[in-house]
Amino acid sequence: MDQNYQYQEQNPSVQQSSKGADGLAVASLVCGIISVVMICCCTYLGVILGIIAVVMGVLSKDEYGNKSTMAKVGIVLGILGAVLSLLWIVLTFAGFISVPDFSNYMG
Amino acid sequence: MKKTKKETKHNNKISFYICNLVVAGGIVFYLFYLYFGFPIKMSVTPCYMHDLFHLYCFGCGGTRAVRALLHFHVIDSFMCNPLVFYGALVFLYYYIGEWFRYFSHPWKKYFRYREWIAILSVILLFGVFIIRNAMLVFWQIDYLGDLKQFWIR
Repeated sequence: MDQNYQYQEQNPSVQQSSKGADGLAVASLVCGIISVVMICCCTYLGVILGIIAVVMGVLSKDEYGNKSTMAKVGIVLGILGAVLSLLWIVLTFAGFISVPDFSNYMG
Repeated sequence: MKKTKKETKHNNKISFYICNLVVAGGIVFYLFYLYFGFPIKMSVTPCYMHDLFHLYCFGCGGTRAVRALLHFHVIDSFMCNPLVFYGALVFLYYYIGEWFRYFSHPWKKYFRYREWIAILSVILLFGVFIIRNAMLVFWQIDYLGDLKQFWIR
């Protein structure tokens, strides 16, 4: 009877610790999605959010010390968003350097 | 690491305040939009997906979707970019849940984190991109109207 009571007491806190890890994984996924959406619209934000998504995905761990699927997807999307946004920025600078009237093409 | 009930309540309070800060920021943004129009010029680089490949990128239609949502044209917002409308819905879902969690109301169990919400957002992100561009390339259907001149003869 005492053992059951101790087990039930321990259970809620174990569930709470896995919720904390999920929070980082979900935040990584959300930042990854927003960074991919911002590739063309707001490239600087795409780079920043992509890096944040990767960092949060790397830091997130479930109760067994593994990375959840959500964290892995967040990392992939963060890398995709950050790399493509950086590429877009590099292309813009290259355009300014090589094409004289490049500013006419800016949105 | 094990969390006590006190720590959980403290975390709930923090997330409640953050959500309310976001809502307050949204109200300020909406008032700013009413008086000054859309304040943010989002694009700092040209859209290369649009200019080089004549395709829609993941965020195309996002600004229009936000504008439509600010005018409460929900269907137009969904058609321009479903992610904006979906993101607003998900935030509303969690915001209502935060109020129930803050006051420890029994209905908080209906507003918990669900994994399918996150999975659906990823599906929407890539699904919209693929479907919109497939419609444009294979069937010459361009409901946003930005790339008609490149694909529709």
